[in-house]
Amino acid sequence: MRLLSSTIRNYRIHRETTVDLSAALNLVGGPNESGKSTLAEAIHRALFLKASVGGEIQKSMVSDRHQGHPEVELRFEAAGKTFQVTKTFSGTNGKTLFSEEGGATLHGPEAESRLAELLQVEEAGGGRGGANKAATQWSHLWVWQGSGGEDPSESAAAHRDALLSRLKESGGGAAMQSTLDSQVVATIQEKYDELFTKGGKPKAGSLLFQANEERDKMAAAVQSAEEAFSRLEEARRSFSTSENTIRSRREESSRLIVDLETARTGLKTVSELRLREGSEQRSFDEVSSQHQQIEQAIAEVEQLRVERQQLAESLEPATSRITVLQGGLKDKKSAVQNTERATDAAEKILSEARDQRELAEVWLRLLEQRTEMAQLVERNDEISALRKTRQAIDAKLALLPLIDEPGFRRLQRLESDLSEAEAVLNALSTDIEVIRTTLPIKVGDEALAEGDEHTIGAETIVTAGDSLVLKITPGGGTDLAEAKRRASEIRLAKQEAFNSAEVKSIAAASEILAQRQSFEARLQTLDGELSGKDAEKLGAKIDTLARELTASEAEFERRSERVDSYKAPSTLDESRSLRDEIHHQMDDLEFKVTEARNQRSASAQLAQQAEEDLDSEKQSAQQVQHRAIEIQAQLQAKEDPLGPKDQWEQNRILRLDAKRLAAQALSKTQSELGQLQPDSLQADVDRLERAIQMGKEEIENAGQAHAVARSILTTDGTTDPAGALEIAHTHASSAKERYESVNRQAEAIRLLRDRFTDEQKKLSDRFSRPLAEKVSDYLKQIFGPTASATVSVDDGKIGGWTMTRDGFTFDFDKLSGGTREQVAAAVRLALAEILAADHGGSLPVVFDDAFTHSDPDRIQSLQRMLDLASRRGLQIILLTCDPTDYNALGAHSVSLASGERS
Amino acid sequence: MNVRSFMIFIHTADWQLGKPFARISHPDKAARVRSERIAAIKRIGTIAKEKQAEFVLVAGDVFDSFTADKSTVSAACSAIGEIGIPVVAIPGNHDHGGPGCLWEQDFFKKECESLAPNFQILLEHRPLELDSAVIFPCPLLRRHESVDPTEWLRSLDFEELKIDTDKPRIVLAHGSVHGFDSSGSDDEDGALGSPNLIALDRLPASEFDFIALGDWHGTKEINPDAWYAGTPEIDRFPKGENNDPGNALCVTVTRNGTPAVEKMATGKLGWHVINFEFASDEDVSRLQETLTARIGSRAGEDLVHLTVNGSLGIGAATQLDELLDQWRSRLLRLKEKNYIRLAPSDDEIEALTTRTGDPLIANVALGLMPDTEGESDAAEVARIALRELYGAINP
Repeated sequence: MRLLSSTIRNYRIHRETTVDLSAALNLVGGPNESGKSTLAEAIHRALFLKASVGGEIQKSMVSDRHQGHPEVELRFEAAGKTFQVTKTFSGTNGKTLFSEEGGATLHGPEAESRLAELLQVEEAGGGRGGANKAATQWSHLWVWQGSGGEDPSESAAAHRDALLSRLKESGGGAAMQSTLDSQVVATIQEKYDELFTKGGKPKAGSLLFQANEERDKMAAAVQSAEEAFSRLEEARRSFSTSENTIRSRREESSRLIVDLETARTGLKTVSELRLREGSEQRSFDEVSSQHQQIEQAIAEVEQLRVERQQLAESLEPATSRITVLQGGLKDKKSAVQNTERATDAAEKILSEARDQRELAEVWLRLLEQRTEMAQLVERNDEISALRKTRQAIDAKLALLPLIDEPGFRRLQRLESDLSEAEAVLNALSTDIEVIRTTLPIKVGDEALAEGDEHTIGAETIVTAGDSLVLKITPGGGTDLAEAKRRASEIRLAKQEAFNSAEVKSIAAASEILAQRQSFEARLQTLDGELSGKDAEKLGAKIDTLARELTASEAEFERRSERVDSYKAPSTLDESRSLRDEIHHQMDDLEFKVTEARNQRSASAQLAQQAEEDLDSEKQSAQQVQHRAIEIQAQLQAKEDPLGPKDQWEQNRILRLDAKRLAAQALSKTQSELGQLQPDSLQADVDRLERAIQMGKEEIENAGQAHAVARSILTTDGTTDPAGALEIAHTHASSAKERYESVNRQAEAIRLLRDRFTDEQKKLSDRFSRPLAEKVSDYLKQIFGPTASATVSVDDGKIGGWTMTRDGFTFDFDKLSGGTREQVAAAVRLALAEILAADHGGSLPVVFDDAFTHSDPDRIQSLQRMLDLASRRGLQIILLTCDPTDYNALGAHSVSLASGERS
Repeated sequence: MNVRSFMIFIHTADWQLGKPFARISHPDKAARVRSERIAAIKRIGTIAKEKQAEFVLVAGDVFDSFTADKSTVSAACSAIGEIGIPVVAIPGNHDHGGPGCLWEQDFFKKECESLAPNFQILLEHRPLELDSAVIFPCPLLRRHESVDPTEWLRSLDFEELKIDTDKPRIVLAHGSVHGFDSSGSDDEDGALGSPNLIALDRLPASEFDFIALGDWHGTKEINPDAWYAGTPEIDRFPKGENNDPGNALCVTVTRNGTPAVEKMATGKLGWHVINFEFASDEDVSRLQETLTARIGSRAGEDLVHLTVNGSLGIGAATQLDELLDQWRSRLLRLKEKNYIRLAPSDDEIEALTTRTGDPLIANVALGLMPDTEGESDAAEVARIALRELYGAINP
């Protein structure tokens, strides 16, 4: 079926528009509001909407600017013939004319029926329902503006049978899922849903779930019953074990008690034997001690006798040694006396020489002191003369006024100051002279008569009777008074200074000062001389020397009495020579004395040593003698208790026999004790007591366990644990079998469901393959050779489109807006191509602004797809506001101008 | 004392009172089976009266559990009390003695004293001299005795026993005898096994006149004077051809004489073991005939252990299921061992796989067919799936 031309009249914007269409590619261009979509709608309604439609639908077609009813005239080819249909949408009385070229014209319903038959659609009914149905006719071929991206599967549903029929043919005669197939699938699915969740797990409440739960429950019941039974069995074991323990322990305890008694008896015997052993030990110790005593006493006597003999033998040589030592001592003492005498003689000579030396020393000092005294006396005389001269000068000086250099300069300064002050006073004062007056004149308090003069040096009131009073202020004001005061003070001071100096003038003072300075110079010279002679200390020195001289003379006298042969030299030099000579002699004498003393000391030491040796020897001999006396006393003491000597041996043998007998008794007792093993016996008692106690405790514990086990084993008969366990096992086994059976049944349902699903898919694949291949052909035109499509046919329903490109597969609804438009167009073209077989190999496909989301590149490439569709027999009618985008399509172009169409 | 030259007693064993029969899923049916064991005691009592027996000997396993509950004990004591003559028993491996055993519990002693004063449980290796016989008990004091329970009899000084030498001497024991192992007799209900081995040949044969044995649930003669009485009411599906449960023995014995043993039927419930081979799908109706022949029109009195072999088509397998479901309701228990191999018939295969109009069903069925081969779990699942599929298209 192909559209050939269309004329629409009084249809909204169109007054009358005729469009001729090519059998292949048609491009209807025009700006917005140019009536493109209205044209597409008018053609569609001419094909499918009854002319008698009324109401809003009819009104929507009526033009608001052109008179007349909306009318559409359509020419098309179908079944190899050309037809024309004209529909006037004038409401319920709308008209339909249908004619085959060269044939009769049909009217009204007959025309509508014939048209529907040609288009192979169910005739639309009247009213709103019919209008709605008409709107959906061929919707897979009609892409209305704004719906280019919608999934075309739904719109193809109306043509499902035709489509499936064609697909079946294209798919090599593949059988379609039958009604029974569907029923069985539904039944199996229903059973599956009863058994399983969507995730394939047993569904809660299902038979399988219940069987599973029952199995688990029964397994748990088995466990519970086993536990109960185990408790019983354990109690039985515990009962038997504790009973055996009590029995065996009691038997064992009896044996242990017998053993314990035996051990205790043994211990008692040990105790008795130990008492006997103690007694025998003491007896043995006693006789042994006695024997030892007598043996020891005899031995000690023998020892003492030997020692006494040895002492006696040792005394004899000692006596000889004492005699020799005594002789030697005598010689040494004599030698000591000789050396002492020699020493005394030397010391006496030395003492005399020492006296002489001292006397010489005193004499020499006496001579030196006498010489010094003479010198001092001479100097004293010189000092006396100097002092007399000084006294005379002092007397002269005393007669002169006491004017010194500073005093004279002060006098000079006062003199000068007074002259200066008086000169100032004279310069400042005012002189008043009374030349003539009749009035009494008073200057200040002083009355002046004619011819009197008065000098005023300060502010002064001058009166002349009572009529004249003058205040005269001399030149400097207060300075005059100051000058007068100063002159007066200096004058007074000068007077006092001169009076004090006892001079009357500066000249006199100058003279006196010269005299005084001359005398003072003389005195200073004398004082220097006196000082040089140490005048102040000389007297003391003379006194001291005099005392020392007196002492030296007295010492000389005293020493002279002890020295007979001393002759005092007369001079100092001689005295010094004598003294030095005596010093030399003294050195020799002192050496000799030292030598004599050393000899005396050596001989004394020898004598002392000889004496010590003698004393030592004597002491040793004395000790030996004392020891001999002691031994004798000890011997006496030891021998007396032993009695007569002839009984000593007999006593010794008696003691020895007693000792031997005591030892034998003791040894016998100890042997008996050893046989009894006392240590082991005590350990046995301890061990057996411990074992008996432990046995008691074990019996006690076993008794408790026995009682506990008995209480567990004693039942009231309300339950049968052994029977319950058997039942539980049986139930568990049954539940397991039941579950396995139900599970097998369920698995069979799952198997069936899976197999049906697989088969459905396979069938769907076979069925839909031609459609998918055609869609893929179209997609390759746009997206290149890797593009392909899949589609599923589920219970005759087509859908589930996917597109694969460059190895990636996308579901239709996941594609972008532009791509979805292009894939939807490919699907529509493929559907149209398949369905076209029932329409003479061709069907029109209308795209009204169907690619609004596609970018310019895709617009270009999708033109290849549209071209392929036309080459495969489809009539493409593309309505667009921008026809230049499709210049490459090579389509028959129709242009609708904007504004009113005529 | 005047003793008859012969005396009669009833030898029974393995009463297994209180056995839960937990495999019987329906509680009423299980209770029915349990109660029938009490009824069996009463039947023994009737026989004892008829035979003028002096006493009844129970060779172990009076109770199924050594901790039987009160209701079981009460029912047992009541039934024993009704027998009226002395009932002497030893504990077996199921109701063994020892610490905490049933026999020591107060509730048992009280019920026994109150309801069954004629009952005596022998727990010691000590002869019991009755009016007409001397009983030599060999009680089990634990489930598994490591020594021969009759060992104490080997070296017994009979002179010292001071028993009436004219009275027949009867050994009462529970366990497996050499040459005949009864330990496998516990079947599916525990397979507990009793290693309590009894060496009969080591007993001084001349000293005893009859050995009353328990443990093996079928009636069995070991030798003329040693018998297993078997259980009086069958409690398991019998194994082997010679298994003969559901009896008590009426024994006539004299001192130094050969005992005369008469088997008395006491069982009520039918325990049937049926093995059936399916040669074709038509055999489903043959199985129905077989079952009807064995059970008749009874309901609630039989238990069947059915083992089915062979192969069946899918439809026949479904028929079998329906058949068995029917019998399941009639029987106290239907224990199944189903070794049937699902072998869809050609028609069934065609119906499943040759469906040009139903490609899904056909392809799934074709895919499943090879998977059903073999004995693996996966093959079993595949067979069930195939049956499900078949059922889905043939509702």
